[in-house]
Amino acid sequence: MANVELKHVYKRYPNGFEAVKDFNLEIEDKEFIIFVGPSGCGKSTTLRMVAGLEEISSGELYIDGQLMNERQPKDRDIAMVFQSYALYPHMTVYDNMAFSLKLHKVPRDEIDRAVREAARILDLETLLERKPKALSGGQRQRVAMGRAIVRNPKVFLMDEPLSNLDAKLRGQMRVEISKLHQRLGATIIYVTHDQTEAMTLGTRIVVMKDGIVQQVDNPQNLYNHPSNKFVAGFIGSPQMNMISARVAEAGGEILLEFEDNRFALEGARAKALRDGGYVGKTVTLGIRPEHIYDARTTENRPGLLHFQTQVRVYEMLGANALVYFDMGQAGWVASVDATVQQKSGDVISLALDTAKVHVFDSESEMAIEG
Amino acid sequence: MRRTKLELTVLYILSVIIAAYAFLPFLWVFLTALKSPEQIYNMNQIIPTYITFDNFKQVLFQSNFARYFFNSAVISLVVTLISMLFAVMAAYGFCRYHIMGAEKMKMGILFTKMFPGVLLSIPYYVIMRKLNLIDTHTGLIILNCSFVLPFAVWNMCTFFVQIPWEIEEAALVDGCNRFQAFMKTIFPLAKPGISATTLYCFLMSWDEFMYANTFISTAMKKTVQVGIRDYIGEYSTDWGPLMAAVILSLVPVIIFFVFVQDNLVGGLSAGAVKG
Repeated sequence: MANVELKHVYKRYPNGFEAVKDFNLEIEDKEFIIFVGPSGCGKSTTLRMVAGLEEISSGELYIDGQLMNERQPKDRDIAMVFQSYALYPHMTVYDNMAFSLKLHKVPRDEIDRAVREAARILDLETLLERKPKALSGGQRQRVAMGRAIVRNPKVFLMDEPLSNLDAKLRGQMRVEISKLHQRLGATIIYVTHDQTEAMTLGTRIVVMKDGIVQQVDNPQNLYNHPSNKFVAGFIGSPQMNMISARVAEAGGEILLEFEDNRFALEGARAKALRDGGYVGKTVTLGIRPEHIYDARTTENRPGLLHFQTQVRVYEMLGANALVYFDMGQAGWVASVDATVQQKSGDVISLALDTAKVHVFDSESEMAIEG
Repeated sequence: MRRTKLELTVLYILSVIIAAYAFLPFLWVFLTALKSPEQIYNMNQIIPTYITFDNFKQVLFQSNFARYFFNSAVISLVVTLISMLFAVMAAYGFCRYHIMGAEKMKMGILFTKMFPGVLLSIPYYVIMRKLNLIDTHTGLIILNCSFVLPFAVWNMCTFFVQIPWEIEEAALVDGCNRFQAFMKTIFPLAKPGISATTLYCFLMSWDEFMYANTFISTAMKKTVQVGIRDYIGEYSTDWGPLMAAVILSLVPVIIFFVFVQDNLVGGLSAGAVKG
């Protein structure tokens, strides 16, 4: 396996459009890195540049310390799983998986051993003589995966490999991919727009928007410490609630005021707001739905901002429920304990955990953290 | 929607009528070729009372037909080979690469098909004369290629656009160079298109009459289609040998069709990508 390094990588198309801008990343050996972002953010283009299927307009790509910019895909020692599977329809499952090894002139008995081992891992042993058209979506996806793993390449590239599967199969395959990563100890670059996949599979996640890397971090940090408003909104489902808030100072305390509510910020964030000259200015306040509680379940915990609101929509999810309500002009959602049921139109008391609040600069949209 | 028995019967009868209408001229040609001259000129006799192969013998052994046949075969095969080579490469390029103005170029290629062949024969004649290619098979091959190629390119394009390109990309990642990726993945999937277009090129070239008649004057260089006219005299027509020659001229077309028909099936790329 190998490490991968991208230095100031750009992708420009002939019409001047820049799909990827100044992409810098060092991927360690055996790392499972995820590129995540909305459609058109440049994640697949970046992956394809690593594969050699797209030319790098400028910048450098290194695999295991060797410059790869001018190397053909076949000379990069990579394997790729495509979103559409891209199986060879005129070949059997066995031949699909053996194709690459045959090209590399691997002895026949070794090919047979590798293919059967991959088939065993992916539970494809009974399907080896079938052609792709005789397989279900999940089976095809596993063949595509098998085609990649028989080779034992330096780097695995996966371009939204689960996006064509139904929810149940996607969940199963996610677990399988995770197991494969542990078993193979492989360096994997995985593209997805599904944040559940990103959060559950990745050792590190690269969040992209408009061709620019927004944040690179592990899932925990990405969730708890988003570097800007976009990342905060993109990671987490339902997404983070946001509203404009005014920063005030009274009695030596830094206060955040929004609608008819105000609360004091403590510690490093208060200091950052004061030192950053935000007092008297407007910032964006963010709070995740799970950090707004049903007031009846909080038992006078400190550091909570209590407020009453009318339930617009109540969605029962089982262990918890989503309460949709209006906060001024903004639509907010709270993920509350489902033990006390509500219905649309009910007035409910909620409690916002002020320690969990995120604050962003209104103009730069960058997080203000201590 | 399930059809009723009556509807199916009507459809069946209509199909038989249409098939018979298309087949009757061939039947007439075939029967005439097997008749003696007396039977041919007996207008009341459609089915021959006895069959004779004299017409075939005369065509094969007492005329230049074999030579014409050979000329046509060589010209058609070379035209097919050259046209397919260029058509496959051009269509692949048009469909695979982001070539600036590709659509306009494709339209331009198709535009050349819109000129009536007769109209082009004068400029063709001037060009051929300047290149010293009048009354040569080389000249005829070049001419045939020029009118076969545009449609061949278009036809191949329609097949290539249906092939998911990720398959080729997968092959590149798996270890193929561009040529290997094409030969091992795209070519097998494009077989129906290549077969259909090959058949078209061969048929067009084999059946071509106007340019062969205009640009070839030496008797021994004639093609089958022009040579068949030998049986049509100024004052009379040798119907028996003429029809036998027609039948014989169909043989390579039928053989060619038999060879490629197995590949004239669609759906080869089924299952390659998520549909």
